[in-house]
Amino acid sequence: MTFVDWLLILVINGGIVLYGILVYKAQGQSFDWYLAARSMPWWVIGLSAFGTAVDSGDYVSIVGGSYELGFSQLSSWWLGIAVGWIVLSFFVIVPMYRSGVFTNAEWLEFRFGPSTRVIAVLINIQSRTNVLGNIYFSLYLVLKIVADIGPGWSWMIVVGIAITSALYIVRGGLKAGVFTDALQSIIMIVAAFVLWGVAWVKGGGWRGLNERLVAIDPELADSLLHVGGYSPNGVPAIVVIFGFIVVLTTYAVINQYEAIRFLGAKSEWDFKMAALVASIATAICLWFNVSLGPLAHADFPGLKTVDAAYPLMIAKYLPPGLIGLVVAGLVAAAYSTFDSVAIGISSLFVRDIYARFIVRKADDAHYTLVGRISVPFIIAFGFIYIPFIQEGMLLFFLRLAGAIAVPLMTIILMGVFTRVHRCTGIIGLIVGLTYGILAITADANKWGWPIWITHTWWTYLWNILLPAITMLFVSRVISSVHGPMKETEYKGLVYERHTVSTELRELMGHRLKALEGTWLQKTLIKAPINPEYPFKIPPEGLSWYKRPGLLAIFYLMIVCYLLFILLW
Amino acid sequence: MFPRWGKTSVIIMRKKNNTISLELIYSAVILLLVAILLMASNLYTTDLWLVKTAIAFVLLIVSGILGKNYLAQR
Repeated sequence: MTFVDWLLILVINGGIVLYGILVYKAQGQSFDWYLAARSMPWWVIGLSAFGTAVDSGDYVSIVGGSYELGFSQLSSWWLGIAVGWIVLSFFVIVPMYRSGVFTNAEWLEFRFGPSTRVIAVLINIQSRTNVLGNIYFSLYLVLKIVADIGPGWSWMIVVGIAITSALYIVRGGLKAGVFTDALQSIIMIVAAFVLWGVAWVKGGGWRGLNERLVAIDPELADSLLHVGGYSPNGVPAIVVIFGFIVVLTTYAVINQYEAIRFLGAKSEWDFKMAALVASIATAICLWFNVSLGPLAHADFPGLKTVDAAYPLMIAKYLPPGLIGLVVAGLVAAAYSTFDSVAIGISSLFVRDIYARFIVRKADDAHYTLVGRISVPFIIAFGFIYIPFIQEGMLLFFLRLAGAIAVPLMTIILMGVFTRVHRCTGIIGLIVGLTYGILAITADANKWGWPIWITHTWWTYLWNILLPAITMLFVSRVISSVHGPMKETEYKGLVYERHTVSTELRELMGHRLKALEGTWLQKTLIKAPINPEYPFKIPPEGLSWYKRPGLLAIFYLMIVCYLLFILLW
Repeated sequence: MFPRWGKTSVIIMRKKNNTISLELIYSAVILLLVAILLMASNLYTTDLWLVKTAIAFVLLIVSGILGKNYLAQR
């Protein structure tokens, strides 16, 4: 990389970081720092949700992943994550937003008890710090290969980026994170387009790519350039696609760092529209990244470290200036996820562990301070994963997600959509986690269990069905012995189209005896009530372009056509 | 304990005019710098100079619009 490239990276990312530090200073209250005083509009939340979901680890690991798995990954990024955001914003987040909680784990305790709350926090911490590790490693790879600098310098730059991201989050909280994310998202899309455009045109477009892949292996084009083309031994393509869809649906549903953005919306309409913005931005950006994998395969067949495909493409195709622009996009992607993980995990730690079990009755400023202090520790935690992700980040992540994250999504969805008994949450989690860990152990130690039990892709299916069926069965048994749950026990905690939020404040504040007199109780009672719409509804109803439900259906129809008909 | 809860959003969102002006000129300068750096990179190699010039041109236009808004607000 030339001096101008380094300057570009510095000006673009330094400019955004400095903007975040100077402009956004949260007030001292937790409500401002964690939830941006519930003031954020739809387009900012949408861009931020996209910037958070797509990090530099994704840029590198997706190209590395699609180098081997091809277009099958499009099902994750076009459909899976969109389904996740739509389910989250239209259903899951609604009772959380109305009931005044700050975190999804907090809602879990009200719905299923304290043990599910703690396990949800631990799962979130594990999966998100794993993502931080992926980002660190991907940045290191890019700097080492593209900038041709030594490992020591590469790691120092990675640490520098991590530290500066902590600065503006500590100062400005969620609002600083979300607004800088929106700016970073634009850089990310431009960077993804530039590299893809140059590689696509120079590589001869669609026809050129087909011919080059066939020249390597006659079956390679069929396998990489079709959504249903990837089918590992013993696993039908449709199960792989199901797994790819579930992995990112899970991501969107369970992650506090996504949920907290939607909880910071100024109205319910805003977070529903945000889901669409996020889905569309992700679909555009990820087309560039996923299709870069087969292009890299044509250019560099037989790569041993597939995650090196992305930096190798940068080095091969881009001249000075554009290298700086693309690497700046990659660094922006890292920043946008660092800040999101930091604020999301910080909110979980403070509200769901520290204020719930350790220091329960301090004043509001104390908890904001603890949240700020926890940010650098969370950012540092990601480095623990580095030794484990040397052999392909995507597959490592997929393996863990199927075993650990999917059961949590299942119980959240069961809690929102059904009236299952309060005791069943922990049972569902234990069943799912036990199966997931057994599947990994049996696979790793070659115990000879059937593939349909142990393989990564099958775990996505069983970890939905097993916990869900168990919860329904146990709930039925409990109901038959003790009678069904009273309506007041789940009022405001399950999805209802309309709820009177004013009635929920006192109910939420006094629902758990353990919270009496605590800071958590006071924040629940005092939480402001935001409207369903940020504008008045005209008598003739909303125009079609202001109806998030209609637009969501339209989006899903288009991507289903593209995935399952045109590109299948 | 929570004297301003529910009112803070109004306080945060109501930015003073001079803050908005500073944001505009700050963004304009950053975009201008990026455009200049992209054009300067053509000194290393003329490979893909048209792509870089096109991006720089777009940045220049956006920077100009932001600068004009800044002047209008002063």
